[in-house]
Amino acid sequence: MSWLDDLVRELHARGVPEHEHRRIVYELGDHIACEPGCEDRLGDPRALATTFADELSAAEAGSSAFATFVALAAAAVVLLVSLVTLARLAHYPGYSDWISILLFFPALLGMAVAFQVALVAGALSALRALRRRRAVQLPAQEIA
Amino acid sequence: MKTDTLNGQLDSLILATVAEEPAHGYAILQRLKERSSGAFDLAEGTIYPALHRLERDGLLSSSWSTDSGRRRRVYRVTRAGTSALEVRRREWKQFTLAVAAVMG
Repeated sequence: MSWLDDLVRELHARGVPEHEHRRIVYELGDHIACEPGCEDRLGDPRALATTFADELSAAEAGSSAFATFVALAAAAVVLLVSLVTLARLAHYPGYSDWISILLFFPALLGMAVAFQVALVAGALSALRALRRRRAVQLPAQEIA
Repeated sequence: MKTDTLNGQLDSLILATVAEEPAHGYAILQRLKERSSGAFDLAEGTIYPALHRLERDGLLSSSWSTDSGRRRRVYRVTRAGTSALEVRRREWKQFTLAVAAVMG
């Protein structure tokens, strides 16, 4: 089995996404083609795959935190709009008006969904923070 | 010089090397070796995670090119990368001056 085959196996084992995986293999394959026999100097395939996986996980953890923040902010906006809409509908022009009915149900749905998104996102973040409160560094498989 | 000694400096060295001229991974490594007269004895594979990280950070950009029927990823420094390199060069000069002042 070649060095590149070992790297492919190790990248698979660490769950490196397919598009990243292909790019890494192309680049390292080109490196080996430039200087046949340089595999020893490339280092241990397992260590290299771990480095790639850790760095990708760290980057994804940052994106996930940002996505959670955006989801919570969006949920808050939907909630606010829904509350204002419902409050206005309760007074005028009344539930019998067809525009009121048309607005009432999306607003109600928005409230229900926004509450759940906020609850799930917040609960998951809190749970992770609680479980890992003493960890200095998160393992790659945890944050991938 | 082992990889441990290079920790924290590899990104700057790569930026400085790519700033000269866009290049693919193997060429970057060769330039690094030539300019350091072979002083940097790092596992050659370690350059690729560093290149990917610099690209994610927006300091490098890359694109595929085909040479002799082989696909290769060519890296170039972005505007943010050029600014970052200037800052790192300044910091490095201050650091070496301070170390030299203490070490004698």
